[in-house]
Amino acid sequence: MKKLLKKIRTGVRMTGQFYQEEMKAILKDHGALLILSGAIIVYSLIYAYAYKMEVVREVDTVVVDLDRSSSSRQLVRMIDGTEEVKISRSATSMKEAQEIFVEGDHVGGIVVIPANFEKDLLEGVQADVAVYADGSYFLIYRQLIGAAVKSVGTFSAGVEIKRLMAEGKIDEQAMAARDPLSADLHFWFNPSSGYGSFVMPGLILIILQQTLLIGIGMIGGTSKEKNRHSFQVPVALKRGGVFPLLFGKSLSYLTIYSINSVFAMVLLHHWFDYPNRGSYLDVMALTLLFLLSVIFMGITFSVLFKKRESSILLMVFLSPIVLFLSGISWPAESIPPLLYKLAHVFPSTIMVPAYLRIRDLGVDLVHVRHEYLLLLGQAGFYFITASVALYFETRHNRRLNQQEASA
Amino acid sequence: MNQKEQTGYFRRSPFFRVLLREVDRMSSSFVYLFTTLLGPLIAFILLLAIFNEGVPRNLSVALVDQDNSSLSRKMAMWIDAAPETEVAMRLPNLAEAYNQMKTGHIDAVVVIPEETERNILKGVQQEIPVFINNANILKGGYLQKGIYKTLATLSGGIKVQVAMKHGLSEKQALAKAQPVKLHQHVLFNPFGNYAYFLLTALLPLMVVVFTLLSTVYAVGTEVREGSGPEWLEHSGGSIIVAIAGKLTPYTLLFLVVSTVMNVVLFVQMGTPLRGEFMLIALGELILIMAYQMLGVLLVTVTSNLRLALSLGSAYSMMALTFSGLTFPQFAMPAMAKAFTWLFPFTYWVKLFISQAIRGEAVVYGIRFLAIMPLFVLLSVAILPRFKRILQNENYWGKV
Repeated sequence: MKKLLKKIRTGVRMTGQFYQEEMKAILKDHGALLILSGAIIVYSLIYAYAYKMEVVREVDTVVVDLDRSSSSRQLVRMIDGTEEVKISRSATSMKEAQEIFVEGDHVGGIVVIPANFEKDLLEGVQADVAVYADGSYFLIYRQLIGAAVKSVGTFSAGVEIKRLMAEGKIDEQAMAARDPLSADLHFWFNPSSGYGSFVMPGLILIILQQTLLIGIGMIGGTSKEKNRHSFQVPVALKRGGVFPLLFGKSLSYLTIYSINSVFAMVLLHHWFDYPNRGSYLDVMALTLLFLLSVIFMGITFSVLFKKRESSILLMVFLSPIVLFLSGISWPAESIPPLLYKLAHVFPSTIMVPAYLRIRDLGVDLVHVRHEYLLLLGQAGFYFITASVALYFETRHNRRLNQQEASA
Repeated sequence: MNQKEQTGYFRRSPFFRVLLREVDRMSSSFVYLFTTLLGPLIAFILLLAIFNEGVPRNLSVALVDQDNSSLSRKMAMWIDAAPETEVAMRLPNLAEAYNQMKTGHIDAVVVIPEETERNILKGVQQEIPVFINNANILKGGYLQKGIYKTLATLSGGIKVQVAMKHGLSEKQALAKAQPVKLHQHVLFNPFGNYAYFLLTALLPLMVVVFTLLSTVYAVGTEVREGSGPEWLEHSGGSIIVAIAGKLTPYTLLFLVVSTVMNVVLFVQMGTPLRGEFMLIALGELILIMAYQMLGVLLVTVTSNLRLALSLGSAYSMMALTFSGLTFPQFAMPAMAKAFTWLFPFTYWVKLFISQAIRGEAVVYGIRFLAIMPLFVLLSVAILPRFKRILQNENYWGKV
C-alpha cells in the first residue's frame, strides 16, 4: 500500500515536471505558439467578420418589362419588395439586359416579363415569366430564384382568387380550389438561413483540431531536431514511466486549448450571436473528450515528424478536406461510405455533428450518447498509440545518446 | 554543337547551375516530392471522392401519417421517390419525430393530419405541416425544395383532375391551376449542382496552397541552413538569377499539376469552356508565379522559416473565403470587401468565371489577368533585402 502511494506521488511529481518542460518548449517556440494560440483568435475573428452579415440581401436585378401594363408593374413591385432582391435597373430588351449584366459588377440576374402578359391573364391563358439567375455564385442564385418563386407564386395566387371570386365563390372555397394541399413549412433552427451561424461553429472545431495537430507535430519535430528529451530517457523507460511523460505533455496542451475553447466557443459565440441553445456543461463534457482525443492523436503522429516544418507541410492542405468530411456543409450521407468511415480517424468527424446538435438544437448529452461513446473509444485508442509511440521514441533517443556517448 | 559542349554550356550558365543545384536538393528529401506532386494529387482525389455524388440525395425524412388513406400512402411514395428526399422512418407522433431529429437520425418531418383525404374530396383545403432542420442551410435548402416540389405537384395534379372533371381541356385546366408560370433559368452554372461549383474553386485552392508552402519551404530552408552564399555563388551573385533558377523547377511541376486539374475540370467534370482557354492557361501560370513570389516575400519579411510557413498557410487558406465564391463579396462588411483584393486567388476565380463559365469577351478577362503580375512586381522590389538576409549570418539557423 505504501509502495503504491509512493509510486503515485512520484508519478504526479514527474507529470508536473514534464508539464513544465513542455510548456517552456511551447512558449519559447514562437512559430508553434503562433499556431497553438494566435491562429484560433485571428482565424476565427477574420472568418466571423467576413460572414458577419449572415445573409445576402438586395441582390441587384435587371428587369425587362416588355408588357408595360399595370399587372406587369405590380409583379415588378412585388419582386422588388422582397428582402432578397432589389430591382436596380430596367432594360428594354433581353440584349440590353445581358449587356448590363456583363458590365455591371454585382448584377445577380434578369427578370423578363413578356409582351401580352396582362392579355394572357385576362383571357385565362397561362402567362409566362422568366428569371435568369447567375449560377456562378451559389448564394446569389439561390436568393434571386427564391424571391422570384415567392413573388410569382403570390401574384399567381392573387389572380386565381380574384377569378374564383368572380365566379361567385366565397373566400374560403376559393382558397381550397386554388390549392388543395398546401405545404405549411416550419424551419426549426436557423430559420433565417444565416451563413455565419451555419458554418462558424463547426469551422471553429476544425481550426482547433488542425492547429493542435500541427502545433504538437511542430514541437515534436523541434525536440527531435535538438534531441532535447534526453533527460526523459531514464524516467520514461521505467515500468509505467511513459505515462507521466504523456500526462505532462497532454496537460500542457489541454491548458492552452481550454483557454482557446473558451474564447472561440463562448466569447465569439456571444459577440457574433451564434446559436447557443445547449447547456455549457454538456458542451464542456464533449469538448474535453474531443480535445483529449486530438491531443493523443497529435502526440501519436508527432513522433513521425523528423523536422519541425514537416507537420505543417503535410497537414495544412487537409483542413478543408477534413471540414467537408465532418458533414458540416456537405451532408455525410452523400459522402462515399468507405471514405466517411476512414474519416473517423479524425476526432472532428465524430465531434462536429454531436457538437452542432448540442449548440444549434439544444439537445442533451443523452441525444449524443452514440457519438460520445465513439469519441471515448477513439480517445482511448489514441491514448494507447500515444503511449506506445512515446515509449519507442524514448528508446530510440536512448540509443542515440549511447551512440553519442561512445563516439 | 556536340553533347559535351552542351553540358558545358549548362555548367557555365548561372541560371542552369542554380536550377541543377535545386533539382539535386529536391531529390534529397521526400518533403519536396510531397509538396509538389503527391500532396496536390492526393488532395484532388480526396475532394473528387467527397463530392462524387454531385447533389445531396435521399436526405432522411420522417413521416407522421395520421390519415392512413390511399392519398397519404401516395404522398409517402412520392416523397420517397423524389431525388432529394427519402422516407427513413414512420413515426406515430410529432414528439417522437422531434426526438429522432435531436438524435440526428432525420432532418425533416412531414405530418399528414387525420381526415386529409376526406377534406380533399370535400374540396376543403388541407395544410400539410412540414418541419425542417435548417441548422445546415445547404441540407435545409434541398429538403425544402424536394418536399415543396412533391406537395405542389401532388396538389396541382388534384386540381387539374378536378378541373378536367368539370369539362375543361388539359391546357385550360393547367392555365386555371397556375395562372402565371415561372420559367427558371440558370445563367452559367451548367451543373446546377453545389459540389461541382465548389470543386472549381477547391482544386485551384489546393494548387495555391501547395505552391506557396513549397516555395516558402524551399527558400526559407536556405536562410535557415545558411546556404545563401553558396546559392548566390552558383548564380554568379545575381539574386534575380538565383530566384529564377531555383523556382523554375517548381513552376514546371505546378504547371503539370494544373494541367491535371484542367483535365479533371474540363474533361472529366465537363465544366464548360466558353471563353478563351489560353487566357485561363496564362492565368494559371501567372497565379503560380504570383504565389511563388509571395512565398519569397513572406520569407523576406519574417526571415524565419516557420513563421513564414504559418503565415503562408493562413494566407493561402483564407483565399477561399475571400474569393467571394462561397459568400459573395458585396454582402461582406466594407473592411472585408477591401481585404478580398489582397489575394491573387480572388482575381483567378474571377478570371475563371469570366472565361470558362460565362464566356465573356476577352477584354473582361484581361482586367483580372493584368492585376496578378503586380504581386510578382511587389515581391521583386523587395529582393535586394532578401539578398542581404541570405548573406547575413545573423539570420541563419533561426527557426
